[in-house]
Amino acid sequence: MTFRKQKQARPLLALALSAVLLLPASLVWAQFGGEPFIDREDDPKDNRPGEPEFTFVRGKYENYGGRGAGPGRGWWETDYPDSDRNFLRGVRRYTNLDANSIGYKALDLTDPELFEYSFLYINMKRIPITIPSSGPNFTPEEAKALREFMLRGGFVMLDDFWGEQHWQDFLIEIVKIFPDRELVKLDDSHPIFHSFFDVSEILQVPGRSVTWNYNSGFYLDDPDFPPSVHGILDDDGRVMLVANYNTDLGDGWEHTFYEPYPTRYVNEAYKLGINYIIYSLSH
Amino acid sequence: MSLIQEHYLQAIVDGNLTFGVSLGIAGLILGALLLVGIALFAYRKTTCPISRPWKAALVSLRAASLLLLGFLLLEPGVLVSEVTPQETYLAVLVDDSQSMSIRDQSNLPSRHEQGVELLFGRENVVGRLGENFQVRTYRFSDVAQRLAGPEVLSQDGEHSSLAVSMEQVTSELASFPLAGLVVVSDGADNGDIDPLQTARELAEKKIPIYSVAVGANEIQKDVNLLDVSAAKALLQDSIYRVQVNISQRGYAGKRVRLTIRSKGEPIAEQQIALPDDGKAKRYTLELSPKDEDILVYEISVDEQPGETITQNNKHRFFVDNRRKKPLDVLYVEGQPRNEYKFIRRAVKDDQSLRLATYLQTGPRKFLRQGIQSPQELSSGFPKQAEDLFAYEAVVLGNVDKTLFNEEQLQLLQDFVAKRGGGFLVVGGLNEAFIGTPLENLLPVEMAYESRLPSYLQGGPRRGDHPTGAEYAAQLTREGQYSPILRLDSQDSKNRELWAKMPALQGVYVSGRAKPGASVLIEHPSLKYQDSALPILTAQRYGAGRSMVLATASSWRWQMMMPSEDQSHERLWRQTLRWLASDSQQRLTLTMDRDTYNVGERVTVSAQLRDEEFEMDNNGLLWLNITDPEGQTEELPMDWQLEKDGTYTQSFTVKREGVYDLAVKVPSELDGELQTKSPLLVTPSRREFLNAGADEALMRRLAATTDGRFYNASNVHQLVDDVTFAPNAYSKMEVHSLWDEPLFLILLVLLVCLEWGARRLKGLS
Repeated sequence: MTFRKQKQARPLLALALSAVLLLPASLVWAQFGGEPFIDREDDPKDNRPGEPEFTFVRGKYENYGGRGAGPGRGWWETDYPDSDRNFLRGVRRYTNLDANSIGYKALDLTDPELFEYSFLYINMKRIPITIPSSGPNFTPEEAKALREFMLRGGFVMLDDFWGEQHWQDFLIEIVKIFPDRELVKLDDSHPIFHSFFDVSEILQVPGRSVTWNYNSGFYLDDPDFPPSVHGILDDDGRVMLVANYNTDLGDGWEHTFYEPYPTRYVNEAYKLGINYIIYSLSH
Repeated sequence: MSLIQEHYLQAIVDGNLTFGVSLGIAGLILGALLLVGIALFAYRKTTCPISRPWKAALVSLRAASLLLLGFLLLEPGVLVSEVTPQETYLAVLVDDSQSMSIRDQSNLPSRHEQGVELLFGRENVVGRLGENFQVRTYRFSDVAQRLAGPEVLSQDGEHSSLAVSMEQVTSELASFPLAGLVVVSDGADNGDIDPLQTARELAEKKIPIYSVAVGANEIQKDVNLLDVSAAKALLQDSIYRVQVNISQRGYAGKRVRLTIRSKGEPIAEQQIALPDDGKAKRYTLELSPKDEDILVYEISVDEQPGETITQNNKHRFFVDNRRKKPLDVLYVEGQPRNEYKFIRRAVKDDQSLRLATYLQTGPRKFLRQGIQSPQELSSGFPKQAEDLFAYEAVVLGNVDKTLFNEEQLQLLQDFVAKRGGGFLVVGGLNEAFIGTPLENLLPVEMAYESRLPSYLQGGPRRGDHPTGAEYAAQLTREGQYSPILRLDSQDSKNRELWAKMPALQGVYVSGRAKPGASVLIEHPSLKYQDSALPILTAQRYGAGRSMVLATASSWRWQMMMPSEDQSHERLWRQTLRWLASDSQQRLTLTMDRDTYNVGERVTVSAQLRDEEFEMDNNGLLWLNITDPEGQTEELPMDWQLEKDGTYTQSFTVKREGVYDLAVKVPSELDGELQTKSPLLVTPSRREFLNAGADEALMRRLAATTDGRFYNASNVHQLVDDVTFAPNAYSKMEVHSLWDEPLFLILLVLLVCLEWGARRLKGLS
């Protein structure tokens, strides 16, 4: 019975929630640089067969022990798949890309299918943020695949790692991929911040359980975690890997429709994410 | 001393026999009978008896003696044509071109030495001719010059033009009575005018040619580098193919070394097997020049033992590898996608291409890349011809028709048809373009999706439906040999590399290729209208080219190949270069030949078009010439009344080396428009190509003009022939025959024989 009741209640609940969420969501869209809301058919009506040309690929990797460990689980799936779906919806609405909100997938870094795409998202998250040797622990095969992916022209976006301990872990992993390439801090004049939206400041998009947790116990714009964006450049100076440090675009996308999550940061997460995609497909 | 002059005999044979005493036929017969009667009478009785045969013999001898005496008493003579000594002129022309230095066999004198011996040596032809004629001797190669003596002959003429030389000499001597031309040559003529044509003209003027041939018809041992073909100008990092034709005699199948040198240093070598005797074969060498300069190369085949001519074993050529203004390509893309990204990456290092891109990133949002100024493409797709025509090629990605107005679509058609630009669609044009000028432009028929068979309606997205599936690019025969799709110059290697290329994915379905279009890649399995779906199709359109790539997945050739692999880059560079490099230029410069020899006249022709690429007849053009020593000269160019937009100027090259030519159109409005070209002046090899003597030509020259042909065996007759051959200025003279030694000897012989016979038979 209980089960039955619940089943009946869910659609109604969903409807009610949608009504509540859609209002702030439309407000969110209206924030983007004065661009008009584009009235396009949403995903279910995109009935052309096959994958859209742009697919949001999330990388699955080996990681150290901890919460993300365990059979079939991993830190790679942080925010997955809501963030990917929400973000793709934004990509579809704001750009000319052939994308839709079901056009995402997660692939092992060593899967040869990786090379059928040119944009790769990797979440570096681990909690708590102070433990050493957590999160991704790229195997030599994974590091080699990532390196080859980028040298062929692929673009990698790393997201959601915080504080000094993560930074050190991040450096260890990066050196596995490119032992001889410099990590460059990208300032706001870099073309990557102007490929679609003009982003003049890197904001700290709040990360759940880091600077935000459903409005309880954390600080927004926490000065202990100054946000920055770093890149690894190819021989022609083009960014082939971008790393968002002390900021979490994934959470910004994931919580798009969650009212307590501050809208301003959602906007920034979309702007930066879209800029990365446009940059990657034009450089 | 001869018994009778040869030309007398000829005159007798010709029936030119006359008598001082005329008896008529009857008188002659009666006289002869009388003399025979006298002989019979004389032997009517003999002092001792002799047999009848002996008697008959003695009577015959006596009669013969009497008849001969009678003949001589009739004052016989021959009618011969003869010149008045020193009143008639005779021109002697001696070939002094380089081919006369050839020694056809190592144990023989050179052609030049043979000629000198004939004219000035033992036979002393020139000296003897001088007894009767005013002899004018000339040396000739491309033109004729007076010859002071055999010591002046130098065999350095770089051309042999018998026609020009004979015309020149006859015209110089036109006001004199010219009895004929004595021409000493190997007959290896390489002039532009047929010498037989000149011979026919001389025949009409009754000027005979006495041709004297020297040299061997066929050179027995020679390797001959006939010609070299190579592009004159290069695009950056091109593989530069040099093709050379080689013929040979005496070394069939021998392996020899073919070398290309730059500044004396070998830079490419190949061992080749020589072709069969008398046959020519083509060999190809590849160069990848790095120096950005005008590069002069020498290609040579090693000198072979016993080779007759070594001057034809090498050849010089050049390539202009100076950095040029890159070809400007405009790429308009309707959406950010992999194909756009990877095309840009493929050509980023190609200095010969500039890709200016206009990417629609979102509704009313555009990203410009590769632009040269903030103004470029700032208001979208160019609206004016002068702006669009500044590009050499236009590429359209997945564009929406709303990006263009009708005028812009028409302008794009003019861009290809009139301006000669290249046009490429990556993917396909959507149905909205049907009925626009772009439909015309495409090399394939456009199709409405709704009218396609259902299996072709799925669209190009990646999936299991037929038009979204992966497939191997299938190169057509034309595609395999197209320079656009070459991954290696060797056919087998090319096929091998293509077999390794990753699959493409997705096809934009079109109708068939239009008549005249070439399908270079086709779908391996999908068909429409009984033809495989075209994937890459190209055609000429007006003055330009158009092409469609019916997939947007060529980027897979990059992402699915090792990062070091350059196939994707190579294919896109070749494609865009093919589209752009043949586009018309506003100002072009052409010359009548690739290389010149010192002293030759070069005609430079320039073609000028205005900003809309219409022929411009109102230009003020200057030709700037910088010679190999850096001396410059500037000459105005003349507009050619009969050819629109064409201006010409000529000058003579005086030094060996590389000349730099520039045509400039100074204009206050546009700044200066100019185009440049190098010009190579080399030593001539012409005399050593096809250098075998042409005896047949020499024979025909003589036969055409009623002259006579000579070689070493009969040249001694030349002086008499010339002296007594009829010509416009000779007169007929009767020469008595009675004092010819032949007759005296004959008479004495007859008398002695008769006397001897009588003694033998005891007659008194």
